[in-house]
Amino acid sequence: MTTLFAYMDPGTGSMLLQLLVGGTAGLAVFGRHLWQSLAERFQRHQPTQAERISA
Amino acid sequence: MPPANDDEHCKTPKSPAISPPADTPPVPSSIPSHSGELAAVADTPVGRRAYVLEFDPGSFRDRDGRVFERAGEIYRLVSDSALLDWRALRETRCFYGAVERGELIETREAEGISSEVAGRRWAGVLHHEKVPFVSYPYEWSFGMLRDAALLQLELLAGALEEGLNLKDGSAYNVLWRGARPVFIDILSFQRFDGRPFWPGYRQFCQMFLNPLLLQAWRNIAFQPLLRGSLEGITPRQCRRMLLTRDFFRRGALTHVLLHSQLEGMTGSGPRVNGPPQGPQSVQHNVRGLRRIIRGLEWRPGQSTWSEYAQCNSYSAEDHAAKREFVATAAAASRRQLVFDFGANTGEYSRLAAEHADLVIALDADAVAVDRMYHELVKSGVTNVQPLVFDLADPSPGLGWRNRERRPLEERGKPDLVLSLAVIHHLVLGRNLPLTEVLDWFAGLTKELVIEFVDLEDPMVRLMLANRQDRDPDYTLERFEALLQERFHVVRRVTLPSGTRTLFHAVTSGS
Repeated sequence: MTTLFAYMDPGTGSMLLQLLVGGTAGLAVFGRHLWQSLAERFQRHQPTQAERISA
Repeated sequence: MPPANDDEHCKTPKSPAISPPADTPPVPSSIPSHSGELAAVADTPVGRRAYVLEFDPGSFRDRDGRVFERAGEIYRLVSDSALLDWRALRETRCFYGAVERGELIETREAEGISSEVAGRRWAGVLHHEKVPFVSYPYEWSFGMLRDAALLQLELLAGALEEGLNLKDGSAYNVLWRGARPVFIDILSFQRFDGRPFWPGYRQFCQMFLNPLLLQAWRNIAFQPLLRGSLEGITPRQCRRMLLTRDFFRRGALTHVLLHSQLEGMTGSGPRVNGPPQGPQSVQHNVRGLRRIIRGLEWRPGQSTWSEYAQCNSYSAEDHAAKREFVATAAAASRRQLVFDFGANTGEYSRLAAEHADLVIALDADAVAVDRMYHELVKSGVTNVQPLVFDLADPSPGLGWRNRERRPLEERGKPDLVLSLAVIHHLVLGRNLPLTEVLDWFAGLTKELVIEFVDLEDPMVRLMLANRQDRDPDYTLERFEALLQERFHVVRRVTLPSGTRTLFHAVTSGS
């Protein structure tokens, strides 16, 4: 429900959409965002220091 | 450019004295009260003074400021960041241009009146020009909402060019000076933060774009929808009301269909790493929205009342006599505020406006009101404000505590009320008891111009063709007796056709 968000909350989906309709400038940012999300998903998990110690 | 409101508060030099004079009572941090009153402190030339103020009940949504009224003037307490945003705004060309054109409310910093309320010290106080009458988007016609939307986009485009952004996109940020929209929320302007978003985009879609699309494409009246939800119409609701073929129209695919798919997303939003972005992407979006909205047109066809001014049961003699009666009553004295109920396309509102500061022209028929709005814009009449308003189904108190948006009677007390050929619609058409209608008028105003339409009138006969029930009070004699119980009738004229009688009535005390 979008109405749960605060008055000034721009809404995550609405922000994404603005990049899509924002012409080349917006698409460039959108592309970078997409690339980063994909890269994170496929990156090998790097164990944190805490995990290394407990292992 | 100096704002027109040259207030004494603004001229007063800031006082260095903070210690209260001996006769000033100690200031409590807040006054417990059910009416929302708050203790405030002002620095005046004679030292620090305590006073009581009440925040505007509709001004709380933005935490960076609160609006209050003092001695008939409008002030806004602002936070640190809002004060910086305001100072950035007032340096821009777009601010001066918009104020000059009457599109943005005149504002200046009020010195010497700041600024401790209920224990909170605000960073500053702004002094705004007062817009004479408050109205809400659910009382506007299609053309009005469209022009208000274009104003919002134009201000945003100007702001973006000078390093500012708008933090919201609310239709409640626009009021009217007659038939001209004015943007009132100075605090909407904030410095552009390098993220390529307009934070108010979603709100703009819900309060402006979607209502306009539904009215223009599907002829669905937006007023009841906006009155039903102060948040407006969500993309998802809008999508469900459109037909498949509408998605081939400009803007529907992205701003409605795709927007509705993304509506439920939560999270921190798209990350924008790297250097801060320029406003180009927002500007592109704004240009697109302007193109869509400029291309929208509402073709309602004929409504019940839109042709009324051209084809009604009045003969030329009746019409002339009615105009003379209203003009004489209107010219009796100068009024500040006049309400014209059942204004239709505003013929009599304009007559009254010649002798009044402001006439609120109300009619339940959105087509008639829209026509009136366009005629007013064309003719340049500045002191008639059209509104869509049904007396039998009026705007209620809405929002938080039902006080954020107020009923009509709480927004201004008219010196004169016109009710021409309305009473039969209320009493015969909507079954309102005649005595209660007259009681309501007596509570609202001290001067009334009212037209009684007889049961023999051709329009009334048409109205009652399929109805048996009658209000036994609805006769000319009974109406006149009931009117005289509440008012003193100063003039009475029966129109030449004999079925309509006009009364100019004042309360006994006035």
